[in-house]
Amino acid sequence: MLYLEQRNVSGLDQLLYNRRLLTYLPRVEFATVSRCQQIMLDLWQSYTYATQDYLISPQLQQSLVSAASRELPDGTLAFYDRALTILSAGLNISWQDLLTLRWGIVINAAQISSPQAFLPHADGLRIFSEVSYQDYGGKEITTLHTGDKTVSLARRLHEVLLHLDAQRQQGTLGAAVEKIRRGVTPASPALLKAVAKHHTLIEQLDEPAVISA
Amino acid sequence: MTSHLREVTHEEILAQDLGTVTIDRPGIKAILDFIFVWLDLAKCTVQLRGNATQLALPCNLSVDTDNLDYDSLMIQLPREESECWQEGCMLQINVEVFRRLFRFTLRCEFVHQGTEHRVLTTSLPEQIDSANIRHLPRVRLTQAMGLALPPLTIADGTQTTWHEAQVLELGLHSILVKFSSMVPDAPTVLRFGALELTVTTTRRSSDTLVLQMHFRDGRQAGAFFDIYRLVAYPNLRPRHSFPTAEVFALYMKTNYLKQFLGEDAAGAVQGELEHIWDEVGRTQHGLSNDYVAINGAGDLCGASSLTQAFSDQFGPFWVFHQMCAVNEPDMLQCTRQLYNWRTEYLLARPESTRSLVWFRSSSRWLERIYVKLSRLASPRSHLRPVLWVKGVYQRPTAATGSSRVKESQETFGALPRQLAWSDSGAVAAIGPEYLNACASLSGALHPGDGDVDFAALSPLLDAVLARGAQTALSVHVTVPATAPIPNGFTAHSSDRFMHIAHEDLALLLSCVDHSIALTQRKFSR
Repeated sequence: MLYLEQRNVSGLDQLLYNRRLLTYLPRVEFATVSRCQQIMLDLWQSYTYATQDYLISPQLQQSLVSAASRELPDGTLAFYDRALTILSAGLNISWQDLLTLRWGIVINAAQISSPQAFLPHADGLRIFSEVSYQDYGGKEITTLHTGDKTVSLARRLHEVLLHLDAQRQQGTLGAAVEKIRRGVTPASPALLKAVAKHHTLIEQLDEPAVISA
Repeated sequence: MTSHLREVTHEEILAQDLGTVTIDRPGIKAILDFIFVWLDLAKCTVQLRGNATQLALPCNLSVDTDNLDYDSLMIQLPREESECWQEGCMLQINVEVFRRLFRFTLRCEFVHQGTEHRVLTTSLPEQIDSANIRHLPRVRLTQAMGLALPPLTIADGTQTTWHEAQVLELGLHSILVKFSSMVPDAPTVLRFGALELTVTTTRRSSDTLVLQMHFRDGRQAGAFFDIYRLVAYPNLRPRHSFPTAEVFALYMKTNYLKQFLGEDAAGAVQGELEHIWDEVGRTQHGLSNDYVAINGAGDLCGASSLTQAFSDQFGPFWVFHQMCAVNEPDMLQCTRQLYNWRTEYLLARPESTRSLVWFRSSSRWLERIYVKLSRLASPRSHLRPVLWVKGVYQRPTAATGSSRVKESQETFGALPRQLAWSDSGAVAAIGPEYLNACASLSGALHPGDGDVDFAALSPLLDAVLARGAQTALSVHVTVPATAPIPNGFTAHSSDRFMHIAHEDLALLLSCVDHSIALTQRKFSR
């Protein structure tokens, strides 16, 4: 919502009560190229956050994380979430796919942990059903579809995250990341290059943390 | 259109280029985005840098689409042709898309050996050279096309013996021919039917020659264009080859006349238009060039014109005008031909040309073409918002002759056109009234990069009216977009004006081809 010179009470009321409104801005913000670019980026970020909250309300998010934590191995949720943020930064992955990855593993685990509790939300949460936790403990990185373009990037990223988490659980995350880093060539898949590029940050994730809902 | 990399080398293209533009880091991502979006229409070649004797090899260029930003490029080559290409070597890449050539240097960082192909992973370019392809691509002839052409004979240096030759590829500036008899050492003249042209040999193999044409003047270039269009623009026909009543029906059917003249006036001008078209038809390849397009069934489906409508001390201004096309789903190729022939026609001429066009910004199609062109073009071309007003201009009874106004006269058939220009660069012309079907070419403007108001154009209008012995006439005047509409005048729907310098014409072809491809892609989705 835009205003010409100054905000008015009616506009602020609208912003407060209409959840579909993201922000209330002066029109002049769109008059210069540099300011307009920043505003559009901010608006886009607000939109993605609002969509996430629209699909999964903040209260439901907390309940889901709590239930999923009981089902998943210790530290998996926090590791997965943080590693996803690090690795996806340089990848050509859509925000919808990112949202699905971020919440798919949580929602699937929560529905296994407390099937009855989330039954009323089943329809709304179905879009996240494609991504679920699997134990990748026995799999080598070379057996994953890291560069196979017939598999979606989101699915391949999910596999790599589960693989790294399995290594973390076994206490071999540092060695696994180092092995990837050493094997990377200029022709390696983007996913492996991303792991190699951020190897220090990923190794530092080998500590328990709390996922922020 | 095809570009035959083995026949027209990129060196040939770059040698023809009058001004290569170098794009540095900030623009590189945009160029790479452009290349990869249109990779299916691009032709890529690669050669080892510094190895001038090696032919450029056709290659497939790709990128890892999993990355948000480019981190490397990948080049796939046939294995047997690239055995010596190793890590660390420097590669020169040429990408030709929409008649633009992008050239950049890459360092090979990794070589992957496949069974049939070799894939080189490379660095990103530090800079990209962009050239408009001035050496216009030659069209490779099919057998049917060859039969449509007049017979070709070539004389040797002494012009005593004429040899029959077969045209393999035909371009506006060059021609690839195959000889069936003894090859003369230095052919100097060729004949296409009755048309005789001076040529020089630019490349030669055992039985083929690339000959470069040298046109004596614009009329000869135009005559050759009529041969070239048989293969490059197969849907085009000269307007005068159709009965004027049929052409009038086309302009009515496409709503061109109703849109600009109004429902009632459109029908009333038929007699006037048909008379003018008959007269103008006599000046084909002179002052005005008018072509119509036919569809697969042979019915008229579009038309466009190119006319020397104004002049100043440096020569004529060509105007792109009278473009109309029926709204049929398979008209895209005809539309491309109706737009592009005018540009290629001007490119073929030996002299440097200047072109003008007015268009409506509400047309996304036109806006996309000309805004893109203005962004890429040299400073000598410019696009600006204007107010194009039309109304009856009354010449003052008192003499207003100005010594700074120069005047001249041209004739379209038997019909005179009065022209005037001033030292400030403003121009005006009147007559014949329906030289453009909506009577928009009688008027005044300042074609340069600057707005001139109505009052400053009045002396020119006075001059052309006085010269034509008229006291009042309906005119179109181009004034600044912010100017008020003069009393008694109305605003034309066209609100953009572009002046196109000769060196930017190749870019216009590129912009039209790009827009056609965008539209095709939109339809196919």
